[in-house]
Amino acid sequence: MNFAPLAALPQAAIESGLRKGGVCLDVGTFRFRVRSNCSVLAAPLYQLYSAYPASLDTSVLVDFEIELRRKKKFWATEVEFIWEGKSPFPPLPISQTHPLFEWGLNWVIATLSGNDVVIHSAVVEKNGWALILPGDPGSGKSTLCATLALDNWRLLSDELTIIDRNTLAVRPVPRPISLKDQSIRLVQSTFPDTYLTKPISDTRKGDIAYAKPCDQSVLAVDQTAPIGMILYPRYKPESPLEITPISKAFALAKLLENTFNVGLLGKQGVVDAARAIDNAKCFQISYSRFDDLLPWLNNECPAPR
Amino acid sequence: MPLRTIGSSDFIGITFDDEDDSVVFLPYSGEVLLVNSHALHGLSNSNESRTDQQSAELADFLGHLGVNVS
Amino acid sequence: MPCPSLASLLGRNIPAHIDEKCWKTLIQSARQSDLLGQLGASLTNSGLDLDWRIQRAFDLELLSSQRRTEAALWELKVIRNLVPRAIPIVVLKGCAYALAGDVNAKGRLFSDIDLLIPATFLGDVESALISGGWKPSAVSTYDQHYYRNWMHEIPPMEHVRRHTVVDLHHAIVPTVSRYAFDPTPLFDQAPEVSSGLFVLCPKDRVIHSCLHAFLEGIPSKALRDLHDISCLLRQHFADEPEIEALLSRSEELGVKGLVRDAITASATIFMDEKPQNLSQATLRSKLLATAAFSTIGASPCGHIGAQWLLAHSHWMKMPYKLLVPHLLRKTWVRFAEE
Repeated sequence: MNFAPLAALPQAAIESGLRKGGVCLDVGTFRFRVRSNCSVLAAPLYQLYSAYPASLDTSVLVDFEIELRRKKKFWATEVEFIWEGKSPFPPLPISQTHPLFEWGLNWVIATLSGNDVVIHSAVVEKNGWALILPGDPGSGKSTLCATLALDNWRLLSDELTIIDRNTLAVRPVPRPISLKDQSIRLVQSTFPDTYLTKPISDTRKGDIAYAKPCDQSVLAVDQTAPIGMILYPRYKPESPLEITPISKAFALAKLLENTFNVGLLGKQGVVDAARAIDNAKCFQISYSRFDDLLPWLNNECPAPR
Repeated sequence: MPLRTIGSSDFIGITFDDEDDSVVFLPYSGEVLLVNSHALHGLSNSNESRTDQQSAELADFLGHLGVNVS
Repeated sequence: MPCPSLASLLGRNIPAHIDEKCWKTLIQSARQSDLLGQLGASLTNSGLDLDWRIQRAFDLELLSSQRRTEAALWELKVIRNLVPRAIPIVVLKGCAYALAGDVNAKGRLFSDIDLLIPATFLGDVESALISGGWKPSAVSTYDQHYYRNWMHEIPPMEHVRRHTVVDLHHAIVPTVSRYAFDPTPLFDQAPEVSSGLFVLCPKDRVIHSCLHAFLEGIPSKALRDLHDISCLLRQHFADEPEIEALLSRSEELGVKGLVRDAITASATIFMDEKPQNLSQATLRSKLLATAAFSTIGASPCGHIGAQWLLAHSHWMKMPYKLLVPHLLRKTWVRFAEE
């Protein structure tokens, strides 16, 4: 059973692999197989997941199998995401095959991580400490996460903070970073060397594109990090940087509101989550310019462990 | 400072350091509450000797949610 | 080495080793039949060496089952405190297995809380639940009539905040069914397992599972019932005199044929050796086994079995003069919704 970076395989092999026996990929601690008869998936997969361990072996044991299946209707061609014989999402126009793949993958990974604490938020790492960025839609957290992850912070995840209940550290699940609307242009101009997929319009989330994570994030997938900071960002146009420390209790309560598997945690699971943030500095921040925020963040990050 | 916890079979309350606020989690309904730390730790006194008004109110409130505080 | 079947693993027939290539089908069919948790319960601590990915999948199912059970047992406490003490509450099915400490409770997932209440107290219990935050289902007038006059349960009630669902039954077979019987003997024999909470006695738990396998009419649910039956038999009715006593009880309730056939079907799938008192398989037991088995094994007859199971469940529930208009109406409603 050979796993090698996806880039080691010819793109043609990946295309036929998707159509036939499936392509296996390792993401975080999960190994999955993806199949698709939508030709539009092969190129973004090949570009964004080039550093990820991959295999075309059809007999490899995987945690889950997914399929992006074409559905021809009279008026259009659609795509469906299938896991365990079911579609958790309604079908979408075939042009949105790749975003559907990414959304579906988030769903499955979040569901199968129920033994851990799974929080809907971005998380990056520096000096061996994890910085959690929860935030409501429109808070600018995705753009902030992308900016940090493509700069000198390591991406752990742009969507799912997974805390191991035994080690109380965050387990990386690095994936392509999702960007919307203006943040696409911002990232393009700030990081011109980063590979970005061609933006797809008319999705239910507006314009969507994905930025390729740094290879180091993908290769360092086994390096977990304890939580050093929790930041609730709020983008407020034309305003100075405003930093408000918040209590750990408030931070925990808000994190639990965004915890997918809160029903599975039980009392002990919530105590584990509390212990996991016990060393964290917690803030609410409002900002309008990254030039104000980033130096403060780089400075505030705890020293190397 | 290590976490302080207090609870019964039906709930867990968690206090960090000396913070004024604490988190209460009700595992069977998944509800999360932010409560006053002093009121929370006053729950460890039995009903009869619970003199603190806030603790009494908290015990009452939790009771209405079906939570047994003892 | 050939791959063991899901049924044999659930039947505690566990080999020393399972090849990696076998897991995909095993896990898939277990998931499809909602038996993944029970498979996990069967294999964990069996001495079998499990790949960490497989163990992780089982751990998640077992955790989900454990949490669901804890939450349900707490809801039962809340319900017991709301309902006047004089009204007996008999817990049924998933919750009951957990309360009674039955082996099949481990890893089992269930959605609703099923309770059996004497018919005379149904209104009082409904009111008590409403005062505690449960909302009666918003169902059509027809469906209200269907439930309250024909069925053995009233429409499900959902809690406004917690969204847990309670099903109140006053019998275990629909009132209009050809198999309807007075539920008083069930109450008479029900042991109290927790303060104020009762379960059916072991014989009646098996009987209920047998009836449920036929009544639900859905192959995957029938399979789960047959699995429950096999576990209950293994735990409570391990020898022939005990099975004989179980069959006598079912005869008292007028459902012996159904119970015998369900146990035979269960034995066909999950047991190596069928109990002697059940030597004869009937056409009905074979059809039930085929229908249930179609969930986990492809078979040419599976589809036929499934159709039969559904038709039979309708036939069981209602006399023809009610059934035909009812089915016509269901079809019309579905058509109108699409």
